[in-house]
Amino acid sequence: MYNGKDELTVIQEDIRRAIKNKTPKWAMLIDLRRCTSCKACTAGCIAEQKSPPGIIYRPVYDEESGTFPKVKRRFTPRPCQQCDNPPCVAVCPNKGEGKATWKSTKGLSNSIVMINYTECIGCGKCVTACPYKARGLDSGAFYTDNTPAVQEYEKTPNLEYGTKWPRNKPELPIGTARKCHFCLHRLKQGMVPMCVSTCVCRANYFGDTSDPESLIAKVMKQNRTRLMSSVKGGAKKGKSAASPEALSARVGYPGKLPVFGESAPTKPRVYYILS
Amino acid sequence: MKKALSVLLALLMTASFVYAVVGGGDVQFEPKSAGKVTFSHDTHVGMGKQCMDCHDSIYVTKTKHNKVSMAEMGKGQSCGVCHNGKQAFTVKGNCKTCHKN
Repeated sequence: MYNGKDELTVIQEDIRRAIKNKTPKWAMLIDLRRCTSCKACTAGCIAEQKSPPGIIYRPVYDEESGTFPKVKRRFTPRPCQQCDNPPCVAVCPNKGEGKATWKSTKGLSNSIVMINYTECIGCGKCVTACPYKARGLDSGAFYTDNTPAVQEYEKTPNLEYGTKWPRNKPELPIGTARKCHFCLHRLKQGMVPMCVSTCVCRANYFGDTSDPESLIAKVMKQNRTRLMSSVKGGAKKGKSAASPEALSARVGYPGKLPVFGESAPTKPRVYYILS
Repeated sequence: MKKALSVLLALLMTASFVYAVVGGGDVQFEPKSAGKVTFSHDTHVGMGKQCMDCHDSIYVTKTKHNKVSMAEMGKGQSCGVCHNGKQAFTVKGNCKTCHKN
């Protein structure tokens, strides 16, 4: 609770105020002290983006440290870090505003790393370049593949970037790179990103960091925040990368062990409160 | 009224069918001295080719590769990487396989 109000209500008010600003600087703050690894954010995200098997925008990493009986566990949700210096954009052979991928500096998408599915050529270079293992290639699979019928609910369109993307093989975004976009389509409507809205523990803060009155700006001021510098683990060496699945296996998508630091060269826009 | 609605519906259905494309859809090449060539993503992806088989080692986008030459292909570059008579039909010989009027 914040001043007698649910954090989500405050965050939504912040977002509605921020979208009146022409170029809000979106950021997310995740308080790991509050996260219980219930994975409601992951489930909410999958439902919202209709993400297929092999694609997960927001995993929650589970780490255990120490020896019994002094054992500690830490749970780390990892959305796309929307880096201010994104390595994924740097390697894209078709980068640039309106092209396959770019760091937005205009309008309501300001500060979000965007993907244009119609321009992405599916080369997978960004998947390898992302130090957070936040990008994956959509292989076109359905959860109900190899059952008597692929269910209609898997084919309903997702609304990423404000466009309807019905899921019919082999149409877009099948074959292209996919990742978290801070639910830009929801932000435009003054709605809270899905992962933030489903967080039972209220471990997420979201808003415009250029607005000092926003809850995220206030909580960031009061707490010591850290940045994620990379995500390790899960990679299988020697695997060829001839298909989206094989590329994911080689990269170790979506990762296992987060590494935190005071700063990161990628300049992420997702901040963490560790303790 | 009903007729108008059904026409509108038919138009919408056609439109959605037209936009139903794989990746970059059909890519048109218009060489000056030969017939037009249409590269179909549908045909190539339909054969089980993965995006990464061609992108971006052989080809990036049309804006970045607007000139594709037969000489290049003969040396085993561009389309000639696969269209060499071993993996797929060769680019040498029957021009009309690709060049249409």
